[in-house]
Amino acid sequence: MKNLKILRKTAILTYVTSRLMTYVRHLTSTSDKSAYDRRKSYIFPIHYNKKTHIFHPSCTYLPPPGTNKIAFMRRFGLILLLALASLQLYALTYSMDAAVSYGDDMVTGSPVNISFELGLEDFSFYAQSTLTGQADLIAAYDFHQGKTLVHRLDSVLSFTRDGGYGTLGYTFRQDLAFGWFTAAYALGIQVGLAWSPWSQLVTWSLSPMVEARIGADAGPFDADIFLSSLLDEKRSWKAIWAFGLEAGWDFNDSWRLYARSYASFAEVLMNDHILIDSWAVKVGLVFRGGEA
Amino acid sequence: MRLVLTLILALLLSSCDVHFLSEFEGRYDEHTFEKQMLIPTPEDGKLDILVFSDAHIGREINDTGVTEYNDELVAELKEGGYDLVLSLGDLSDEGDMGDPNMLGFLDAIAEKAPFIGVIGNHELHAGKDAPYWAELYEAHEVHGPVGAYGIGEEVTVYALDSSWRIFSKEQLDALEGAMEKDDAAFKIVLSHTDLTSGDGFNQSGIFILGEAQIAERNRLYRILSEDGPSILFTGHRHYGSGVMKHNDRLWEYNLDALHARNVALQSDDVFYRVQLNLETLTVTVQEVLAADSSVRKTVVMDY
Repeated sequence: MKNLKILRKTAILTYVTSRLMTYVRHLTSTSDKSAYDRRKSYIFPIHYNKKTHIFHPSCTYLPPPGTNKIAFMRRFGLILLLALASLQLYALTYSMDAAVSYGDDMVTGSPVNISFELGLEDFSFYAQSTLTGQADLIAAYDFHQGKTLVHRLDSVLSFTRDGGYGTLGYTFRQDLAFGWFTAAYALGIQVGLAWSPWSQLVTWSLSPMVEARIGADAGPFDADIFLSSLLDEKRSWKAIWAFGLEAGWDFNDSWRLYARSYASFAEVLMNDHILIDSWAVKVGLVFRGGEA
Repeated sequence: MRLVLTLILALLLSSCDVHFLSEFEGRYDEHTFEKQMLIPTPEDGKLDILVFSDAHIGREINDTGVTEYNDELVAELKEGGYDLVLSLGDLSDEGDMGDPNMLGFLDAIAEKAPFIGVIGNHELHAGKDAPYWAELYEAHEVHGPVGAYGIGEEVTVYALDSSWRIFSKEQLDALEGAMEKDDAAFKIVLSHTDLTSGDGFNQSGIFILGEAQIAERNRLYRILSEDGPSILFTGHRHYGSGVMKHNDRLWEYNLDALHARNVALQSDDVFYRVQLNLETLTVTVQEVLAADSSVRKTVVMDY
């Protein structure tokens, strides 16, 4: 309950400050009202279409190619700084994970992906964006059971200017350690809805979620190999599998540097031909703070 | 433990023929959908097309009818006076490019009318994808599997490659660029993979693995709507015959199969008589049972 109250205060503070900054920028801007309207839509990305009775992302949510990207990033930077200040203020246990990845993806066509994750007690919030305009937002809550079991509820919202999808998922995860050797598995289920402002149709899906990891954890260093449909950077409304390697270095209790490489494939065709449709090498830095 | 699992993973991967996305680099550009004129616009303003999908020639598992309705379709062509024939992929079940039944079928159709065909996931079963099939098609006077084809100045047929169940950003960039410049009054778009899935076509949305990626699907909806009016013909599902009006400028018709009636891919062996009326901008589709040429269903789509 305490956490929820703090979370609510943080959200309100972030929202109010963000709105104020929008007005300040509007007042100091030399651009016209339409530019202000575009900015306003960054804060309320989901619009309700009265004709089709469906919610869809505003087509103006993502800045047009070549414009406004800096303003877009500044806005997120501001929100994150405010969130950090709030966390320090309320002395919560939190973590922040900023990462950039380089690779290739047949669908998004973007070699670079920027992501940020905020952990807050048992909550986590993950946002990522490609340079070609696809954005993913993930919110999750973990229920811990004993030392090794975690039940996770999560929600994914992914969108481009052409529409998107949202999912709700449940996963059961167990992390095991045998001396230096580690193993983990997760099983889950996800229900998804996809929409487009260009179609009257809202489609649904039900997909499995699976992850298996094995590795080693030796002091500050750890490494895993994995097969997963749970990688945050490859979430989908259907099963998309990824396999790869991850290694991390905890230089102290607060800081962790990690690298992850993965390749994904949409499915194994009946004839055993598989297409690697994306790959990436991701490097991230994690900071853990607050009361441990 | 770790060694065992590593070996299992290595074994799984080594049993597959892995293709990398780098194979697609440079495959699509601004020339991919440069329009090739096939035939002039029909004088009466009515374009008669025969469309079929998922013939699965060469299929053996649970199916004895792999070529059963080929002759019926060719006979329909002889009598029907069609301007154009369209195939929506999975013509071959195992991707055997030397299958005499498939090659004979291609030749028999191409003799009767201009023939455009896309390829499906089954064409890839021998590891040969679009560039290989383009060579085969050219040798048999079949157009495709990727390109844009003009029916006079009024209609353009766009053939898309979704055989890997992914269109790719490069292909959609090329398509969008071409359609923006295309002044044709009506566009017909062909894809093997269906865009609409789940309960949209009264089909299961459980454990979806194969349908179009959502970002690609939504982008295609936009392109085909903005640069339409368009009709999108898709196959792949067999248990199809779904029709969806996405908006006033885009309809999607998911076709049932010409062959393949096994348990997993139930269908009724059908082909489709399609007439595009350019004066009224209406598309009339008759779903025809190949066995007796009876019309099972008629759908009229207006714009």
